[in-house]
Amino acid sequence: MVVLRILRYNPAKDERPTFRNYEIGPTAGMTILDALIHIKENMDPSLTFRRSCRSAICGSCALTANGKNLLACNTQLSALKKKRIVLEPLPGFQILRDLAVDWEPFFDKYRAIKPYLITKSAPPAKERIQSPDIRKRYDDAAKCIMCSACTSSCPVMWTDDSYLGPAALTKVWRFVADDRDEATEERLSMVSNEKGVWRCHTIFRCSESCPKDIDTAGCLEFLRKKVVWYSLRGRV
Amino acid sequence: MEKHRGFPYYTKRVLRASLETGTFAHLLHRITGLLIVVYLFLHMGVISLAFINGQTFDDVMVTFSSPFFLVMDLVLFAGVMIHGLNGIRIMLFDMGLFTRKQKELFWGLMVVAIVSVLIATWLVATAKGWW
Amino acid sequence: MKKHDVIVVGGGLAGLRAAWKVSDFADTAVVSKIHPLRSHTGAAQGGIAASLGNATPDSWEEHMFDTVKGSDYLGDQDVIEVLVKEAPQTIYELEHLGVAFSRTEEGKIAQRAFGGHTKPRACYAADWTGHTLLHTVYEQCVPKKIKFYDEWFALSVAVQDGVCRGIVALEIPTGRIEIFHSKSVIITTGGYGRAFKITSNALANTGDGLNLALGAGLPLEDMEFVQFHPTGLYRHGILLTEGARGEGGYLINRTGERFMKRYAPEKMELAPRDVISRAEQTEMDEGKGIDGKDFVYLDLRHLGAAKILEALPQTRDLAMSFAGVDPIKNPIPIQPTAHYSMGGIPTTIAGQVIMDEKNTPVAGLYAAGECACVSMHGANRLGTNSLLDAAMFGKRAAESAIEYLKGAEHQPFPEEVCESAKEKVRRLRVANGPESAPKLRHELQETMTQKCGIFRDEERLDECLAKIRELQDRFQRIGIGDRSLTFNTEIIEALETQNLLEFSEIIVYGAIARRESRGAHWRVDYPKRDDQNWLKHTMAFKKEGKIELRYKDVTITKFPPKERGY
Repeated sequence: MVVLRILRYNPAKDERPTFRNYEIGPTAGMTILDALIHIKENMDPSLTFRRSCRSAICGSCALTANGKNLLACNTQLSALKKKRIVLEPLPGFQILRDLAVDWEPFFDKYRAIKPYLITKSAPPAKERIQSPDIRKRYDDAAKCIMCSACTSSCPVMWTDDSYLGPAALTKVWRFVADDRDEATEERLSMVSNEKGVWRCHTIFRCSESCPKDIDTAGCLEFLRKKVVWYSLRGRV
Repeated sequence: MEKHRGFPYYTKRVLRASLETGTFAHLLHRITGLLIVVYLFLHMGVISLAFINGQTFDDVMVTFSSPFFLVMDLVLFAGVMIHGLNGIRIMLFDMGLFTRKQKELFWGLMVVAIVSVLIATWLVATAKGWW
Repeated sequence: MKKHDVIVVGGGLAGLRAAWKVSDFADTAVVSKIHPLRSHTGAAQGGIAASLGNATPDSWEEHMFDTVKGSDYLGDQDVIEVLVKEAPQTIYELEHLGVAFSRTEEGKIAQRAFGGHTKPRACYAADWTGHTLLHTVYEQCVPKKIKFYDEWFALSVAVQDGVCRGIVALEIPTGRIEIFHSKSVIITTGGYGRAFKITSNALANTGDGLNLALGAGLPLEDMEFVQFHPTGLYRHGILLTEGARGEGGYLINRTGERFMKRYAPEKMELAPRDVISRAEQTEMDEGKGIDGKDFVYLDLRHLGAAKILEALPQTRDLAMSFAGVDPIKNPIPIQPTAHYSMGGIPTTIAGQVIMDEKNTPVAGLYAAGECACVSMHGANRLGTNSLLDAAMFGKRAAESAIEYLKGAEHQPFPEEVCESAKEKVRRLRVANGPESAPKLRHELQETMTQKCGIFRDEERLDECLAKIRELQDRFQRIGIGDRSLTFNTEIIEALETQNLLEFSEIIVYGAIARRESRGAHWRVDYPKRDDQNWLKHTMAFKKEGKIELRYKDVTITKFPPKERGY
């Protein structure tokens, strides 16, 4: 048997979030998401959480399990190696209900960094040519599923949420590293400040939380390096 | 509505957080940093004694060569090594190096720190004839 | 009441492409029950088809023939022609928007082989093509003036006197129900794999858009054609891309034999999905599944670690985290999984929804993507054609909407549509019967997989229909435990279950009527294709609880039906 200790909170009814325990007998290969669905269908229909693809690509089900941010769908209960598993909503966000948080501030930052390819020259008749090496440079960053596990796990975010955070900065790197994008200088100026790359304390909690194994902190460091080179040449 | 920023929130989250290598290194860096700052102030205080009264300064210096303070010296040395080596680790990251190997790098440098503290201990011990 | 020119229902690739296009001309809103980036487009892995000829010389004629043959001649050839001709331009446009396609050595878009295609024409981004398409198109929507209503569940679409007038939707975080008054609506809600137990589809893929159409008195087309993907992860049904076989993966049974050589000697593992799924099922039924169980192996070991890590990283991750198998070292256990719905809301070639078998259009109502049936996929879709369908017809629907909006005004919104939607939710809020929605859903999924799966026959289909009607009846007596208005997912799941029960009946009803085997619809009792009687589209109407089937001719232009062998 495993005890799932889940933080429950319905802002319309409850004064403050409280933990509630659910004891379940895990089946072989049961993931946290399977367990949550099992609880919702058989024990407590009011348990609220987001989920969709259950194959680690949609980014809906990020939460905190035993203090670590991860995706509920691709983490097996057995992998946590504990008989008592504490599940909390992602830290750093307002709780909408139970494990579902308000992502709006997260996506505000995403929108703020202009998360789209900016091109100024007219496109060719066919595809733009790009070497496999350049493509490899932003492969990691382009894989991001926007689950917010990294940004929510960042201790810097816990002290000051005006920081753009790892997810948004990784997205910036995705475009800076892509040679089709023609707004590098604009992007670098945008992040070369106390809300951008210089706020990072290289704690690596983001990389360690990433369910897609993206080197988030690394992307941010590459961005920093780029900012330095551009500043030295007086272009940022 | 709960506040989601500031030092109290940080402390609360850190106390609940799982301690993977990166976070552990971060906390250790802060703790050793504080230790070194505290030491620096004590150090300045003691040094300034020499300007006030030379005799008192000499007396204090004698106290400082007692075994307890020598051990404290080693603790300070360990703190400096951890803080300094980790500082180098962070600088390497800023150059875009080893970001995929941050865990291995940290534990590797910590081995260096431990070995150097052991050597320092051995030096102190032999100099004082404890060995 | 909210007022916009165009409401796009659903935020997947088709919806975002539509919104992206139409927002330059009109006040656009996207209503989606999950955040658009959580859409199931992201789970598409292998690629998107176009005859770019970057790997080997290719032409749209070949792409067209492959698609027609893949569809078992049920696809409308005028539509297919448009699709394949415009495909390269669509890919180039997507590339210009920023899609992270993998590259050839010369820096062109890389292409790989795929089931049913005679040339390597699947443009891919490793094995997360859908993910990069979804994210890129969403990113391009950011600078546009599009109002996103995330986590709003559409309850009904208002069509009166042949003119669309908007939708009614429920805001999930607050439980509020509102009218979205608009001149035009584009339905892009995706598929309904969740009607089956083993499915590659997301938990959110409950075909809600189909019920929007049904509720407005519109028909559904070709619903009996449900594609089963041959390589779903055993027990989970999670998709492992066809690209794995495109890169050279083998399918083997318990004796280690590449059994496809007996079913499709020429194409082997790259035969179309319906053929392979049937082959797998036959092997398992004959006791040749691994350990005699209901799975076979997908073997990638001979590809080598470097190839797997470069071209199929996600496949490896999925196999490792869900089956505990590393494809570099061991074969992956797989089974067929419900994957795609060829049928859906009937539309014209311009994406406009039609209300009968005579192609009478509904003014202002459009549909695109998996929920629509323009009918290019016919009886069986070829892999990589669906992303193309969504990307292209999403935009085409938007273009038609732009034309329509030039002369259109907001028509009065029929109050009764809103009232009945509110009533539907109100009844659930106070429901306290003995039945539970999840239980009904599980029973439905079990029945559909058992009795309306890869192999069908009249007897089992009849049982299946009876069961669905029983479940519909029992749904009237369900109970809801969660009374809160805030983020009440129990009610949403009950609404989804209700939707599943509604259109599943049509799937089975159409399957019973179609007495032939064509593409994904395989009748053991009628194992031959019957072009004499059945070369036609099913149009299912549901009026006052009764289903009526009518039929529509298939458009055949270039390729008259021939025997289909691989």
